[in-house]
Amino acid sequence: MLAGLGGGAVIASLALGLVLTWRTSRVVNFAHAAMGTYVAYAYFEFRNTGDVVLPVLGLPDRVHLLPTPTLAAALVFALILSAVLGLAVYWLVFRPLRSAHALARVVASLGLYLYFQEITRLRFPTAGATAVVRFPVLPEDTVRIFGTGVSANRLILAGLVLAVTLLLTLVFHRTRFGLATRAAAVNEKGAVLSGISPDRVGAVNWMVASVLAGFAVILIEPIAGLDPATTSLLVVPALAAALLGGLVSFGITAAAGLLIGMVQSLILGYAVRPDTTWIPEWVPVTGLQQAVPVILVLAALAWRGDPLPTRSALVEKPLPPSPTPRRVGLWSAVLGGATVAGLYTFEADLRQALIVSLVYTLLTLSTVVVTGYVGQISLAQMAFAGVAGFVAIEVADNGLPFPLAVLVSVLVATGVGLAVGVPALRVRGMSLAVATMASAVALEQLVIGSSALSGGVGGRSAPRPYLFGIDVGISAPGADNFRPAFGITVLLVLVAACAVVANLRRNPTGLRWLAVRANERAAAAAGIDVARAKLGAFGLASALAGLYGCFTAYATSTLSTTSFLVIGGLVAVAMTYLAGVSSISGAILAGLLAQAGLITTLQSSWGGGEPSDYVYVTSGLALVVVAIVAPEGLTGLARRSVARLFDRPAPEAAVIGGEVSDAAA
Amino acid sequence: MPQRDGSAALLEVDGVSLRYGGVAALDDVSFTVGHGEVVGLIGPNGAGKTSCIDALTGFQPIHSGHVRFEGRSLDGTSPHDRARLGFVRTFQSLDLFDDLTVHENLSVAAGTPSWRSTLTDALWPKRSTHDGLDEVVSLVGLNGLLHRRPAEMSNGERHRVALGRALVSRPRLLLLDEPAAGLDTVESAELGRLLRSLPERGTSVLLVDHDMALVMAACNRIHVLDFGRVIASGTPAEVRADRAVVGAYLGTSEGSEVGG
Repeated sequence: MLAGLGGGAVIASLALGLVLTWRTSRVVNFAHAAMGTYVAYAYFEFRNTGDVVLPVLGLPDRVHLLPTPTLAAALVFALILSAVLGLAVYWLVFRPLRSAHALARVVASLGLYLYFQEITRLRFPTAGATAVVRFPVLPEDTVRIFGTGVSANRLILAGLVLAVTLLLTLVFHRTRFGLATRAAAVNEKGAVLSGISPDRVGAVNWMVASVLAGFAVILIEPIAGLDPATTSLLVVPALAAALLGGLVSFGITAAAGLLIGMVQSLILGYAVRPDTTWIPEWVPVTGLQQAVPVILVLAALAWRGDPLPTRSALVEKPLPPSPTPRRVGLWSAVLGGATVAGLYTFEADLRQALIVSLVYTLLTLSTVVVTGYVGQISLAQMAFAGVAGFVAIEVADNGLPFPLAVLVSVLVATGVGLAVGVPALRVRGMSLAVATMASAVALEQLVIGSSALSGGVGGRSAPRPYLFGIDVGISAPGADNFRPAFGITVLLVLVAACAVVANLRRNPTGLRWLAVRANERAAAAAGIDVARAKLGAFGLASALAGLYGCFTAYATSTLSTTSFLVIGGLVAVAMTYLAGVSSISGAILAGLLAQAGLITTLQSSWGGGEPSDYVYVTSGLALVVVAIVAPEGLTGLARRSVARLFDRPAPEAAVIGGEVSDAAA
Repeated sequence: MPQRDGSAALLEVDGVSLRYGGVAALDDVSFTVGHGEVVGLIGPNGAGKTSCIDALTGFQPIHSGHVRFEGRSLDGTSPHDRARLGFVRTFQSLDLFDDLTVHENLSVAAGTPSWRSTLTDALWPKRSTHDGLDEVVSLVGLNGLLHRRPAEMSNGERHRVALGRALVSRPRLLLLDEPAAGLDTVESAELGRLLRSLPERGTSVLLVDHDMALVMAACNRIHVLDFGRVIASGTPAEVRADRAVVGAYLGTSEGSEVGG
């Protein structure tokens, strides 16, 4: 149990930073651990080579600074780097977004998450490998406490966290600076009037939070190692701890973080003991270790209700307006006809790209329903898709024909979505984003990751689908691969799905959704059952995500868990927001923008240039930019520009559009 | 309380208490609203008027006491179910659906969904929007404004949208939270005339407002709240003459003692 102190200390330290930035800017920074991970990699690189690695696209990768940096020099470097990162993120991203809708801030922090995770991968190509020589900062001798051996670094880490907690608590409650922070978070205008500069307060707190994250990750390296994806996901248990502390209390947060780490280590120790026999073999032990604390937190969240204050002195901007779908039949005919033409005339690579975009649109459509129409930020859609994908293969392997296998797996996805949705009814806004991300991690680790469902390392393959005796499988030998028959099947499903969503949106059900999105208490006063409206949307969105999972299964020769990673889910939400989260046209554009979809494939075949490595980094960056300059997304921007064009010329709209497309390119 | 022909009152509030932490916002509040009445609920700032509306409509769980509507206990009934029973409220801050047009703001409150209607919604392109809104639209005077959005409207027009949204389901009882806030005298007088006409449509009214002219003109009966308690009840004339009420409004903290 004491062995978990180290992991717990890191979770606690990250969680303290999350509380700090929440109390400063009302932002739950999903990129918190990813920023720390970048700092840690940069620190080790500097210590090894004396090179400063820059995380900014367009600047040179690295600058040589010192021939042989000492430990002290490297630590000072890490301190400065993390502080500068914190300052930059606050000044460039979250300060401009302070009065934006919660979703805009979630999206911006997801964009940063993508950006930092991927820039770490790009800048440190050996990431995850053992090529980097490490220099442990803390001693690793073993100390005996209560008869058990504990590595000294774990004890020192825990001690450091407690010291930081004490210091933060004292600063926040005993000094003028702490008072200023609390005042500025509650009422910025009032704080300005009483002579406090919210910008300075914010900048300092973001720098402190970023330093905490950087050092937490540097110090955990000897215990847990480093990996851009895994280490960045440490933000999930940290969020859990921060939420248990109500995003306010440093003390409870630190205690919760330590406890989560110890519980994780207990579970690991218990599960691998030879006499633990009741846990079936196919349950992934690491999954259990990751998921159990997350599930506990979800339960705590649901039981407590929303711990986040919903009222803020700063007036939040609403979500982008949701235009009523018009001429659905015409658009279906035009786009459907174009798709059919493409499927029969394109070469295999473009046919593949088109099919990828068609399938992906099912996923982005699910985000439009649950987030765009009902205002509920769900980061778990990809996990529902993953469950459906593997369930489809499972039931198809057991002899169920293609359309029925799809139906069954979609029903299962809907059930899972509702199971996540019911506890999520008690939380909203940022906490909902956290809760659904935690659910996604739990599903990925426990359900999708279990070898019984996903077939372990080898993955699984779906049997060839037949519809009324016609072969609608995707694969064929050589240039005939990516068969149009499969594409047309997906197209028919997608058109039907879009029609259902468009109908609901135009009819009273959709109006109730928008009413709930606009104002929950007014909706209740108007006789709308808010819980039912949300659950209905959750159910429909899970079904759509399930369809995405199924067709991904049928479109992939060997389906593995990597098709449904949490990070992929974040990308999908991000892409949808980028394209326009509150309209079907946004879902379609997001589908076209998908990785390996039509637009990126055309881009790389024409330009020949942009390596696809940069897709995540640029989409992360594009996301942050769009969240700040064009919260209605690209389709909303286009719609507004067209409207203005017919109204009167509006040069400024064109300028904004130009900036955005530059950033997205 | 005088009750017409001895039948149960439309709304019975019986010993309702509401606390925020240690502060009692409502303390043993009891009163009734009869069929066809326009009843006023007045009191100085902080008297617990909005708390009272929140408690009656289920937006705040009450500590003790009972609320009965048309003889039926509302214990454990959710806010939206109370609205569907015909017990509808408005908000002081209006809380319009800013994303929706006026027409949509009204129609969203008109229908009661069922599984069948949801299914029809999913399969039918666009159902007819002729849903009996016309009468309410002309009643509150929103003709010609139906395709505007709340952000493009004046304060007075927004008030009419809020009122229209509350009336569109033909409620049995309408709770109005400061409906005259920010209205000019002409608009306020119009509102008073409208409220007096509502009982003929089958809608009784519980009116909470600061505008004494409006309350005195529109109401049959008035209850006065101070420090979470009902300190006086009666006709406008009786309440105007009540010295406890005068004391409370003059701002002495022990109005009833001064008055008594």
